[in-house]
Order: sequence, then structure tokens, then C-alpha cells
Amino acid sequence: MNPSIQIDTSIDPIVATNIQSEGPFASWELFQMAYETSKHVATPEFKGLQSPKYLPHVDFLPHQLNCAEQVVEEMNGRAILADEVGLGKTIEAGLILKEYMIRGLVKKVLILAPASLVNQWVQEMNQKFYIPAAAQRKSAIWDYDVVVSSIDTAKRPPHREKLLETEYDLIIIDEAHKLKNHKTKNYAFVRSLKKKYCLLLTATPVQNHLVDIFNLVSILKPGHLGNYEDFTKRFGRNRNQLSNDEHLKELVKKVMVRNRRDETGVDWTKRNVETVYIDFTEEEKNAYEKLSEVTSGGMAFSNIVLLRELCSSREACFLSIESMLKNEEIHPSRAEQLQEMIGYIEKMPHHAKAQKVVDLISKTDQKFIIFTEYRASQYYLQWYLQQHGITSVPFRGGFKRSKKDWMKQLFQNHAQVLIATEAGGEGINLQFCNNMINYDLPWNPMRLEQRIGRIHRFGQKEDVNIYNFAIRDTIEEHVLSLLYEKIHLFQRVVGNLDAILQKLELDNLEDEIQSIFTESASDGEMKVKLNNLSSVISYAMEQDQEVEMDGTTGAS
Amino acid sequence: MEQQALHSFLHRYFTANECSILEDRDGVMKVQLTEEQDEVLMNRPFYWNYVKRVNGKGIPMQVTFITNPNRREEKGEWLHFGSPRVHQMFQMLRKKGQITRQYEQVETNQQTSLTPWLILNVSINFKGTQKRQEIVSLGLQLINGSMIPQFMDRLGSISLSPKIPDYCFTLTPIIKLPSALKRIEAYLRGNVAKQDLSWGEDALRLLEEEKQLLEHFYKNDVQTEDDEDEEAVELKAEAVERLEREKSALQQRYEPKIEVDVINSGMIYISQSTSSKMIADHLKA
Repeated sequence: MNPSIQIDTSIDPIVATNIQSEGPFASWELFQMAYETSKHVATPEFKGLQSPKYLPHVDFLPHQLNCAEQVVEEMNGRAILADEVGLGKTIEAGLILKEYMIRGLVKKVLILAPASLVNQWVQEMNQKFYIPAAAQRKSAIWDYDVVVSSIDTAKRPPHREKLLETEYDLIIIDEAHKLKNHKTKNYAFVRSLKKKYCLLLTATPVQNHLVDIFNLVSILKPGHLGNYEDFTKRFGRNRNQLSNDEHLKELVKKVMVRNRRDETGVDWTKRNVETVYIDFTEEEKNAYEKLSEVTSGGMAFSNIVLLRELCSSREACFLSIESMLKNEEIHPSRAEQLQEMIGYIEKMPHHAKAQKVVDLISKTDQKFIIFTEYRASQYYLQWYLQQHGITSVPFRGGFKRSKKDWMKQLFQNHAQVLIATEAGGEGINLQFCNNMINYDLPWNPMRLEQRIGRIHRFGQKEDVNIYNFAIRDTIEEHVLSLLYEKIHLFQRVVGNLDAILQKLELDNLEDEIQSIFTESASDGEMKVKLNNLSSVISYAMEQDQEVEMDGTTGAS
Repeated sequence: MEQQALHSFLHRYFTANECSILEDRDGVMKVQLTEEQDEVLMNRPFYWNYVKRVNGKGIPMQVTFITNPNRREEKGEWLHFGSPRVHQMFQMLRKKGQITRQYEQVETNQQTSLTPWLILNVSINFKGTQKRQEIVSLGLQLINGSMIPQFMDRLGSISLSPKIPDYCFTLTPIIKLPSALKRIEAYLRGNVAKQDLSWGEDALRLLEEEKQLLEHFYKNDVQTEDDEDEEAVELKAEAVERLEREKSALQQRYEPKIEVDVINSGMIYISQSTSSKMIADHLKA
């Protein structure tokens, strides 16, 4: 027998007192049932999951069950859940939490999620898992056993102090990639919380640099990847992929579960992608050409913005020009040019794209989500749709939580269209809708995947239709046809594109595209450069097909 | 099968708690709750508080529970073993069924002595990196110290009642309760120590390994070259604190422990003939 295993078989002496008391005594039947009940809920084995038995109303997918088992049995409750978008990381976390609660190992729980997801977590924990979670709002409710909060709320007084002194049995952090920088206040805050078990949820564990993963692992298991000095010495300047270092790969595997869509064995609904090219009207073309002229005298960043905006709505472009004109340091000749532009914009009729949206949507009763990069376009579209008898609701990142929930409900039950800006894309699940219009395209492919992930996720029963809008002979068409389509961005599930871009040291594709436009002297040069860029990426992707990428896949 | 077991559980539960079962057909059961069960199960403390404050009489609810999966769309509450409602019942049982005192029903017309037995049902919790439980039921005869495991099962065939039968009297225990509990503790310790404890050794090894990783991680942070540099001293203090916090979390997570929770306990008085037979059966087994 090992003397270091604490064996404490002492029995509370109160038992003797109670037995000798004058009652009240339980009937034999109640006494027996109490014993049988305890036997029923006891967990006789170290291994195996009990939680699914408690949740017969939920159909868990095999990869979700495997993940939960692996985290509990092999990772001892501290892990990064890094499934691709839409595979059910929340469900995995819920299973693990439930398992620990059933086994009596976890009682106090803190779930930190983006503000827009707080209610969803509360709902899911209560309805799916019978876990009485409560959302932290203004008044303090930290005395509840399971609390869901945004980091921003949690780290502010008076909540902060209360949280820091609580000994949590389990802390779950959703969208944990936001913590990748160890110099931020959020990182320091999370690291100073007292926790026994910990789950970090992110679809992109390595976003830009290898040190991202070091920082995440250091929340879970400091020392697992060595200390900061060791790690940066070895990988500091090296932006290479995880896959290039076998040893590191193995170590990461011990604390991370990553399932990929194509490995889950689930029959995903199809994703139909259609590019819709639209021609500008004569007036619009004139305005665009005028703006290109104005801007070609050295395509500054602001000019690219204006061109992109013009492809979205005249309102977006107009607002930008207006604010540029307010800037007092503006050169008088530039101001003159911009003034002239406004004249052109004012002559523009309704936007060709908006017309196309109406054509597409009015043919059917199906629901659509429209994503746009610009708030002005969002307003404009809402008004324009209304003119054509199409009901829509807006959605933005800046909305309060309750408003987001309300909008989602309105969309689900009443409106045909939800118009979202980029910032609103994160953290709403809209599986009940299966059509999406990318009214304008972000220059960051990851964001595109985030958008699509809102509807093409676990729980979607229909094939998903994605319509990408682009105006012919503009900056939009160039990016779409020379880059996105060439790298088959829409056919594949983005998956490891981020990894590939990093490998190529292209982790900010947006800057890359921007500089191609700003630095090219002619259209021809710009096209050649875009072509080169897409060739480089395509080549890396082909190679990637041959080598299993970062090797951090699910079952080990 | 599970659902049928749940159905018979519900039946027993409501009967034992004196609720009348109004209808019971094909996995759908309609129950008239008592005031006590309404308070326990229906989660309406404000209502009961109000009723008590105005000295009124509350009206306990009638509830329909469904266990037949084919009828779950019908009006009523669908229950399975994971339902919070069922776990409320479990909790209630553990609270209400803690202590008992029972006498064997002996039919006799002459003076008969009943032997005192202590019954103790416990859960032994084995906690390493994971946790498991073992439910043990022990009977200790308080005259001669015989100990019988799986005591609940052996009592199953004996008819018991909370009232001492006519002509019967109970013998005074020779072994007093506190020392009876000591004997049981010793028995459990011996029992546990005989088991395979490799899981605990694994946990200890892991604990050591991860502690070393921690020490290495904080190696450079917990020492300062220059004690004059206030900022450095402060940073060091923070790092030391973090290291300690992490270590204690590791300890909590991995440190192997075996502990005992009492489920319920009581006194059972049994005729000498039944007592002897039980001991003999146990020795044979």
C-alpha cells in the first residue's frame, strides 16, 4: 500500500447521536429507497461517461462524445476544445461540465463568453443539459453555482474582486483565441482566477503566431510547453506551422481536441455557392470611373476604401467622403475632387446590387441573411427592402444582448431577412435559415468562414445557399475572380486555410490585397499581382493535401 | 427498460410519500400531491410562503407524469432518469430516509428477545484524477460484534415494522455506538487497503510530474537579481503567488483520496433465530 494515498474512513460522529435520538425515523420503505437511489446515482467506474445517460433527449454526435471522454479521462479536465466552426464545441463543453457535476467533482462554475453569446450559453445549459446556469447582468449574482458572463463584465468592479476570491471548480472560456496575447488585461485577469478544471473553446487555436498556442496552453497547464524563454528561443522568430515540429505537435495534442468537419462522419448538408456578377448602371459606372481617376494619382488607402464602399452603396461612400472633408488638414485640391465626387454620387440611382437583392428574395418566401461590411449600406438596404414590401431586421455587434436576442427572434418568427454587419456575425446561430447573401465580401477569408458558419453548422437541415455579390469591372470582381475563386475559397470548408496563410507568412491577407491595389501603377500590374498571390496560395494548398496539416486532430 | 424502472420508482415514491395516485395507465401517472411533496417538487416557494403567512390552506397540485416514450407528446411532464424533477425526488429521499429504527415482525405469545443490529450504508469515494464510488451496506451485531456486508440485501427477506411486536423486548447493546462506528471504520480501512490502488499511484506520479513542469515554467519569474528594483520585486511576488495557486489547484485535482460518506443508518432489532441464520448464511457465502 502506498502511504501517500490518504485513506480517511472516519464516520461523522453525528451518526451515533442521530441513531440514539427519538426520531423522527424514516419508514423502512423510504430508508430502502434512499439507499437504492444513492446506488443508482453512484458512479462505479473511473472511466466512461455518465452524462449521456442523464440526457437522453439530446442526440450527441460520436465526435462530441469522444471529445468529452478524452478531456475527462486523458486530459484530466484541462483542455482546448478546438473543433472547426459549427461542430458543437458548446455541446462538448456541456457534456464535460455535466459529467463532472454528476461525479460530484464540480460545483462552482464560471463561463466566460462574448456578450452576444451569454444568453445562448444560459439557454443551452438549462435546456440541453439541465444545468441551472444564470447570466450575469448588472446586479451581482456571483453566488449562483453556475454563472455565465462576458469578460468585460467580469473584469470590472465590483464583480472582479468577487470572482478573484472565488475558488472555481471549472472555468469555461468561449472564443478563447481572444486571449492569445499574454500582455492584455483580459489575459492577466483570466490567469489570476482560481480554477481546478478549465476548458478553452476556440476554432482557431493558432491565429497568427505559434506563440498564440503557447499563451493558451499557459492558462491551462503552465509549463507544458516549457517556459516563455524556452519557447520563444526555440520558436520566437519562427512562424512555421505546428506540423513542422513533431515534438511540439505531440505536446499540443495532449491538451487539445480538434475535430474537422470531414472527419466527423456526419452527413453535412451541402453548401451551394453561387457568384452573382452585377453590372453597374451607366450613372454608377461613371461615378466609379470618376472615383478611380481621382484616386489613381497614388491609390491611397482611403481611396480603396471609397471604391469598395461605392460598390456597396452610395450612402457608405458618401458618408466617408463627408468625414474626409471635415478633416481640416485635407489638401484643397483633394477637397475639390471629393466635392466633385459627391456631385456624381448624388446623380446615382438606386444601387444595382440592392436591386439584385430584391430580385433574388422576392421570388421566394425563404429566409435570407444579408451580410454587409458597412452600416450605411445596412440602413440603405433595410429601407430599400421595405420599399419593396420585404420585411427585414438589422443586426449589429454593438446591439445590447437583449436586443440581439430580440432581433434573432423577430427574424425567426416574423421577418424574411436579417441584415447583419460584420461585427454582428460572431456568435449568433441561425440554423433555421439556409440562404446567405454576401452583399460585399470581406478581404479576410476567415471572416467569411465565420459568416457562413452562422448557418452552415450542426443542426442545419437544409442545403445551404451562399450568394456572393460582385460588381463587374470593379475592385470586387478582381478580388473575387482573381483570388477567392482561384483558391477555391468557397468550395472548401476554409478549415486550414489560416494555417496555410501563416505558413506563407500571409497571415494578414487583407493588408496584402490592400497593398496590391495601392502599389500597382496599372490595372494590368494589379491583375498580375493578384494572380501571383492566388498561385502561391493554391500551390501551398495542393501540397497541404499531401501532408496532414497540423496533426492536431481528434482521436489520438 | 429504464423507463419502466422509472415508472415503478415513481409508483413507490408517491406511495411512500402518501400521495394518492389518481390514474396509472400505460406509463402515464396522475398524482395528487400532498402539501409536503408540492413544496418539495413544484418549485413554488412564494405560493407556500404566502399561504403560510396568511394562515390559509394551500391547494397542492395534481400532476401528470409520463414515462412511456410513445406517449411523451401527451399532456403531462415527460420524465427520465436525468430529469431535474426525478433528481429532486432523489434528494428528498436522501434527506428523509436518513435514519430508521425497525423491528422484525415476530409472531409469538411468549417473551422473545430481539438482538440489536447497527445498519450503516456508506459510499466510499475513490478520488484520483477521476472519481468512482462504491456503495457498501454493513450490519454490525451489537452483542457479539459479528459484521455482515451487503446487509440491505439480507434484510430484504425479513418483514420489518417501526413498532416492536407484542411479547418482544430488545437486548441492550454490549458494544456502544461510538465504538461500533470505530469498528466499522477499521473494517472499511482494511477493506480499502486490500484493493488495487494503482490509480492512486498514477495520480501521485502525475502530480509530481506536473508540479515540476510548473516549477520550470516559473523558474525565471520567481527569482530576482536585484532586490532594490521595486518593480522586479513586485513582479516576483506576483509570480510566486501564481505558482502557489497553480500548485494548490494541481493538488486538488490530482491528490488521491479515499473518503467515506454516510448514506443512511439506523437500528434494526432482529430475533435471535433470524440473526443466527443471517450470520450462518454470510459465513457460507
